[in-house]
Amino acid sequence: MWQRAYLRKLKADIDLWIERGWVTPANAEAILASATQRPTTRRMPVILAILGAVLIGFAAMSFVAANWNEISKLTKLVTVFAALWAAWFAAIALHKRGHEAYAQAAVLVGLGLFGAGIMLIAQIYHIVTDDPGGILAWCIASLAAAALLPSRPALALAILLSVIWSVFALQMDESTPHWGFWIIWAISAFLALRFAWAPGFHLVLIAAFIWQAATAMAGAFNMEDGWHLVVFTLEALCIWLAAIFFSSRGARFASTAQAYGITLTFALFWFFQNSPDIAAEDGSGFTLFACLLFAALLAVLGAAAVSKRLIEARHLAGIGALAIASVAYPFIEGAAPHLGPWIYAALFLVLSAWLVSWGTANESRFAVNAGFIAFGVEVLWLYFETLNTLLDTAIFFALGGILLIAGAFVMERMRRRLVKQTEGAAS
Amino acid sequence: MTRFALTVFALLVGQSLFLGAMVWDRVSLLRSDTVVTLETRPIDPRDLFRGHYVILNYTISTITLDEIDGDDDFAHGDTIYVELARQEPVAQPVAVWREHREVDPGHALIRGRVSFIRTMPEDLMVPEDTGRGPLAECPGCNVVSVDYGIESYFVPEGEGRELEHSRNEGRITVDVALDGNGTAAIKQLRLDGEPVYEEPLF
Repeated sequence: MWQRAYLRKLKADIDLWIERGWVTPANAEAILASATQRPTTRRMPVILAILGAVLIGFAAMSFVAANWNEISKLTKLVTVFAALWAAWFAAIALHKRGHEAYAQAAVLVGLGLFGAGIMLIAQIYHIVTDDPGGILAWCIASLAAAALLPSRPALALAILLSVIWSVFALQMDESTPHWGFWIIWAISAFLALRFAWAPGFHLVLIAAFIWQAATAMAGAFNMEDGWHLVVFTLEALCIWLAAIFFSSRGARFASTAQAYGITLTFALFWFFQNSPDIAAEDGSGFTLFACLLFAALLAVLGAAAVSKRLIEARHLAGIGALAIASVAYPFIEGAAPHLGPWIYAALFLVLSAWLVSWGTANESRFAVNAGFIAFGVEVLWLYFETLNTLLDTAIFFALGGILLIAGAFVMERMRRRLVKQTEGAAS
Repeated sequence: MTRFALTVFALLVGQSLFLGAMVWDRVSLLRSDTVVTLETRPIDPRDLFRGHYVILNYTISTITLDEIDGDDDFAHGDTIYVELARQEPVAQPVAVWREHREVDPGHALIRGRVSFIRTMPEDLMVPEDTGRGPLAECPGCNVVSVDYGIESYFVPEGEGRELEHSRNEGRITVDVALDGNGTAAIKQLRLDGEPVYEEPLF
């Protein structure tokens, strides 16, 4: 469906380019022929092979979990060892015959059987099941396979296992964050970038977010509950700005990171209007350190992005407003608890509208859509929240509407003045 | 041989060696001459059965430091060595240590990890220089919970409930093999003193 839409747009563009003389009709035909050409390798068999490998891995683990009493320990061990060797030798044979996708599936089966082997030995000798050591060994084997072969499915498995390993380690000691996770994470991120593999980069980012959420929920950051919201919002803004900063070096990965940064920022910022309990005086030393660290990082990234003309100063002001409003929340909540939700609801609407403007200026369809969705969701939320006080709803929306229209009018006047100045300077 | 094949072979050998080392470690531990019998005790049955294994809780899983010799300054996550007197029908804890040490004949050391420590709440403490004791009695204080790595016992499908029932009646004891460093491995389960599940090496 996407391919069809792309071709339709390309044909329309090419007609325009021919008209303007940028492209010759002969070149246009070549471009269209190239675009309509089907890829020589079909993706479906590859996907099915990988899914098959995943199923075989689960089958091996279920076989271990069944703890079938009819089979001796030795037979179970020999079976797992034989299957392990068979899978890896199958990978060699398939690679040799040029069936790369199937070789990768066999690698995944081999790694699954290695994990099943660890589980089996733990089971038959009654080693505790939630020991993170076994998972770490499995994760390292997957990471080694991913780096040395190289193998994308192995990398995906390693990322998944790193999260499981970290959660197990956190369960053993909930008083300290499991920092060891970040060593595996950094290697995984490096490999995802080296392979230029976008799904791997998604997995790496998601793993980092899961780790932080799990650590926060366990209370291991030693941070007061509400302050997590402030710190994580600042961090999401840092991801957004960092993605802008690195956009020239790797556009595809930068746009992915930017999408996560935008989504997280607005998702987290939305909660401020629900009066989370964050008292300014409750902030611990670590909280202050985390806030200062991310604020400093934001300032550095912002200054660098503006100096390299990667972002306009007026748009940096939007990101700055999000950061300042997040940090100011504990103080506003303390000074005017009844006004806080209204201030943050209004801010959310204004900043959603700004996100649409930012997306338009940067040709980011994701940001435009995200801005509209955020605005729409917020309006609906406010409508249902204030359903019993329709007069308040009416006043709020009327004021919001007037403010937005006035804001748009002022911005348009500023834009025209700037354009005029630029044109005057040029002539 | 291609680079891919060589890499796969190296990975395969590494993984096989790792699995082999796991087996060897357990087999040599189970061959140890040092065997102690530990008493199990019931725990809340709602949390007991996870899949096809039974959680074993031992009388030595919870130790009151005031009632036992040895060290008493433990923190969460610390390694702890529990000195056991090997007596019939079950071994009894006599001391706890922070470091590994030689013990008397007839005694054995089992190594564990402090998973929880219950101390007196701060509001019940009084400064040492007042010369007075705590403001109130604190039953259950200065108690450490210890994990020994022998808390899971895998059973064939369908046999777990029966075993849990017997354990909750206090009829299960466990023979545990110990190596020179105090690492423990389950060797055999006894029901009313009679072996019911004996673990072959292979």
